[in-house]
Amino acid sequence: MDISTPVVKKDHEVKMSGRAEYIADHPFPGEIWGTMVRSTVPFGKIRSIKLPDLPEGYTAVTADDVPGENLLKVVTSEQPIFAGDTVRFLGEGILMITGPDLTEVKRLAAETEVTYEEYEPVLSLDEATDTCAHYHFTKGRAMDEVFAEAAEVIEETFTTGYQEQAYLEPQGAVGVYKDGRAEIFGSMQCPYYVKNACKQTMGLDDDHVRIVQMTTGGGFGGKEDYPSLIGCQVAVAAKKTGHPVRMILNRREDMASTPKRHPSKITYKVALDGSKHITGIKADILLDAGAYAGLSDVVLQRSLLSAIGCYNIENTDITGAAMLTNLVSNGAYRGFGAPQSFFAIETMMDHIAYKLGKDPLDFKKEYFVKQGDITCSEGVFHHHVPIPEMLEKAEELTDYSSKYAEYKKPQTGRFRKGIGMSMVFHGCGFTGAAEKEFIKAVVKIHKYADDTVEILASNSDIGQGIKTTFAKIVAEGLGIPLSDVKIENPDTDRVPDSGPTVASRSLMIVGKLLERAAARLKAEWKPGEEQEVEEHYKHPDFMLPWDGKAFHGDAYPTYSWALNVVELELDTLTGQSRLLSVCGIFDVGKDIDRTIMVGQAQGGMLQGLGYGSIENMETKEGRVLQNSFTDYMIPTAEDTVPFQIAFIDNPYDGGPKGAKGAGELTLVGAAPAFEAAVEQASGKRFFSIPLTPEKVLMALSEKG
Amino acid sequence: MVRTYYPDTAYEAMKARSEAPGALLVSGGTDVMVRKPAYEAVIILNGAGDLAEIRQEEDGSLFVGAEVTYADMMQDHRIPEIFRTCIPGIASPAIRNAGTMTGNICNASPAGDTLPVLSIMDAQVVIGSLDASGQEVSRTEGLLSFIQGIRKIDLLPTEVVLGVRLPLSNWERQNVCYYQKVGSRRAESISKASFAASARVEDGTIKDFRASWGSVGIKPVRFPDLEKKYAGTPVSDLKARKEAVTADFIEGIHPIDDQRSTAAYRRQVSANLFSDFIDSLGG
Amino acid sequence: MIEFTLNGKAVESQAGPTDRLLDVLRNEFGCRGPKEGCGEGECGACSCLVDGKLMNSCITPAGAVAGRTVVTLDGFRDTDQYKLLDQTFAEAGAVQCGFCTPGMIMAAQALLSKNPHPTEQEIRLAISGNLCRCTGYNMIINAISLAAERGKGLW
Repeated sequence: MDISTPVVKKDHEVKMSGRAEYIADHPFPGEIWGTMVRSTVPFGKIRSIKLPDLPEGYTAVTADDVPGENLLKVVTSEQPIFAGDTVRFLGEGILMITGPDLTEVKRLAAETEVTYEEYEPVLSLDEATDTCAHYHFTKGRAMDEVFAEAAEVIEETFTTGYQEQAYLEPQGAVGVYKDGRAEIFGSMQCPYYVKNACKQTMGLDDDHVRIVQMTTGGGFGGKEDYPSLIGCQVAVAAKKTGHPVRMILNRREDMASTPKRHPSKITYKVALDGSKHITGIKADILLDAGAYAGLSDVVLQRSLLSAIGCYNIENTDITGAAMLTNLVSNGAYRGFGAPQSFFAIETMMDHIAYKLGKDPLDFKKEYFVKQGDITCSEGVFHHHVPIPEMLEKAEELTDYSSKYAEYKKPQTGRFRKGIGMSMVFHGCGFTGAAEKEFIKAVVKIHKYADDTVEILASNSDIGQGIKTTFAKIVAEGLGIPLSDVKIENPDTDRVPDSGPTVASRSLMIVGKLLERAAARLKAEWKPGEEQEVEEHYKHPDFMLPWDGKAFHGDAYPTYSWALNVVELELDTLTGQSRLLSVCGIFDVGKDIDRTIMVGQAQGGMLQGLGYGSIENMETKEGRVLQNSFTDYMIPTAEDTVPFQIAFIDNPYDGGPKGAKGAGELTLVGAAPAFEAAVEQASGKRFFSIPLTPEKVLMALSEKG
Repeated sequence: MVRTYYPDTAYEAMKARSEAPGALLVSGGTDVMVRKPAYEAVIILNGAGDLAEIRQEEDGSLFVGAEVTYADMMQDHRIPEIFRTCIPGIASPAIRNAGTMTGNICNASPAGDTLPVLSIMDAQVVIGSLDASGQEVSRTEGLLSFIQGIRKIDLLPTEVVLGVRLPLSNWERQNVCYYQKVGSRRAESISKASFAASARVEDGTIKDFRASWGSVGIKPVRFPDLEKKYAGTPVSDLKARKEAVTADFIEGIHPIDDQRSTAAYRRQVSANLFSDFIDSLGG
Repeated sequence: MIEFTLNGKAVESQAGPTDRLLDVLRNEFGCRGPKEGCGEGECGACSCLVDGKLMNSCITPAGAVAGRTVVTLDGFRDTDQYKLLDQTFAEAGAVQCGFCTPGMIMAAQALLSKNPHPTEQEIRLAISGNLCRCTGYNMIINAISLAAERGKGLW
């Protein structure tokens, strides 16, 4: 049977019936509640903290209670677990009030008075001067020369806003401390990240920290790094109070104080020769990191590597920096730096095409990469690039070119139509040599005496279906029924560190290890006996070495590809648009389950459409203005239409059954396709997302 | 402990308010439960059967009781057509199952979706209370004076809003109706701007003309003087002078920037929808 | 004391009149179906049925269900209607993270019990107050639509 044939998901029944245990559903004997007292200023020194009278059983947990280092381990460690003497963003956690009654805990937290000596904060990317990461790398000739020889140079600047992950389940964790051992249960993507952070904060070794992922109500990157912070906070509180401490953020608190997609400002300078051919592109990318570096360095790397999009440009010069501000820290969100760049480069290419009097697709076709082409970091696109097949499929499904031609004719009346196309890739797995140098993934398959097996890996199912796809790979590899393959939520006492659930790596990297482990177990299979096999990451030998400082070499072993088409109708009276059709064509190597993969595509594309259109988040004086589901708008069922989705098989040897990274890819292309469609319908050019009705209507009301 | 009343009738509700002046009146709770104000006494109104009625009154007006939910309104054929455009755009099915039009009024939010519609209908708020002898007394007040400001209404601590009176005999002669809400998305959206308008056009001339905007001021905006000024104008004239007429009205609209939209957008949309309404007039 | 019927059983709650029905259901009666996603009636994860109508339990005052009938997924999952929805949700891949699922099921039930043969657009409207960030909704709509097709006589 084809591996893509859908199955009932491993976790379907437990979730469907409401029996799955999210952190809010699982009681801990003797548990008490915790709530953070958060900074009310964007930048300042804490002068004094005045606690209200704490009734018996109520406790304040502060930086002084941290047994180990009061610093959150992410890539490096900058952010305090509890702010010590300085706060760097509005909403930063200063201390925790704990106690048996949540209402009382909240009252006491609200009545805690903190005074500050306020410093001048940096409240926008434009004001920022300090970087926490920066890179510069080139391909081909010196850009000065290229520009000097150019017949024409076109420069444009693009901006992108925040995007909130808006997982339906808010962040939450319970900390337990007993017999010198800290345990954290929670909603999370990366149990071992939480473990490593907890070890550092609690001053404990490997054997004295245990992390258990509870059923997790969505992550999308938002539960990559933050669960480490909240986990450390409850662990410290549990040690101090002697009780399990539960902290679940309310939605407003979650939206205002947890990491989001980085706002960006991206400038392109493009050189054209006398025959209107692009000879070079200079890109400059600035990301708003927020108050602490966190994951920003790594996010920036992916932005930079996506800066030139799917185009083979002879000479490129790319600079970028992640800038520190006194705003909420930004972190991981599906796409991880790439959506900003792809929006910008796709729109830039459209704009150049319009300037040259060409249709965008015809113009882009002159530059699409193919196998063997050199990447912007002078690595190689080692594998087949199926852009021609994807274009053909898109024409078949959407009739893009004829619709484009039709909507290009002058339109009158209130409602006007437009169609837009984008082409994007996603570099599969971690950027650079991280898998080899830092992650070093390990998986185990344990075989029980009854000849059923259990997968032991640290990747968490956050809705993306990894329990099912892992199990399918192992069942297929062993030639046993799917029901004989067990997989539980990861518990670090039971599973090895197979790395985090990020970077679209779980299926490709860890799935491949499981495929190999299954093959070995099958070879060594002894009916009726308990057995265990373990597999370790092997770096692909075809890759060019990666130099992280020079930003040179193969940043990724391979790439997944996506083509998105968005067709819409624009209301010229309100600037609002209504989707008419949406199409996504994806090369994810080989889909391990068609229904799961369609689910990734459906959800990812709608998140991407939200990013491009209605998901507006701004700050004012350091405060997030849209901090609720009332004001931060994610699409509802009424805001979307049935999507057409197709896959192009293009198996990659480094992934199980040929599978490549898939989860993030699906989000990346929707925003630029939406923007292109609005541009066609309105006849206006735009430079920023979310492309809200406000921006559209203001452009339409300008004369000319 | 919060004192709680579960009145079965409107009379009992008024009695409860006179026993506990200022007690929190809860209908659907869809707004008050989000804001969670502290109260010593609460009156849960949804058991008061006579408040859940829609009834035709002798003068031809339609009384919509305070406990009639949006979902109930959609089921009643007597409800004017314009509500069938307006109500499906309010929040979500679950909210429409609980929320009431009276609640929308008493909540007195600038973004209340029914308010521009009620405003052009000249809807009246019907308010009841008990006098010293326990007799029911009632009064009515026009919507725009009942709403005094953001979350401020003209209701005494002993009074209960019994419902809304829609003067239909007059309304039914309007032969053009227009309503549009502009939110960030198609469902569950708090309006950035909304617009309701109606006209009675006879023999190519505007006889009666009403327009009201929501979310652009502390309460629905309406310009009776301008409406009068243009009544009697031939539709063709109005259309020919569309830009000037629109400017005339929009001059009085002063929206603000907030987390949902911008003043400039609200103003432009207000003008565009008004213009579109003029375009929609027959004749 | 507030008396009402919960999932077919008569119950008495000690809650105050404006306490959230959600807390009563979860904390007093151990229901796990209704989830708290926003606490403001925006996400629908806490959806339940009150006298057969879809309600957001996070903004329903406990006092407002006095004398009424409340159904959550915890009770609904014993029905044949649930069993069919279970199959079609599985088949359509309508469950990802699962946090919106209990609310979606209640919204589906509220719809199908009033309208056993909804159009795609009617399904969209019926779940428009239930946010889902994972699926993009279309697979949930397919699942409800499949259930309607196959549910001859069930609704």
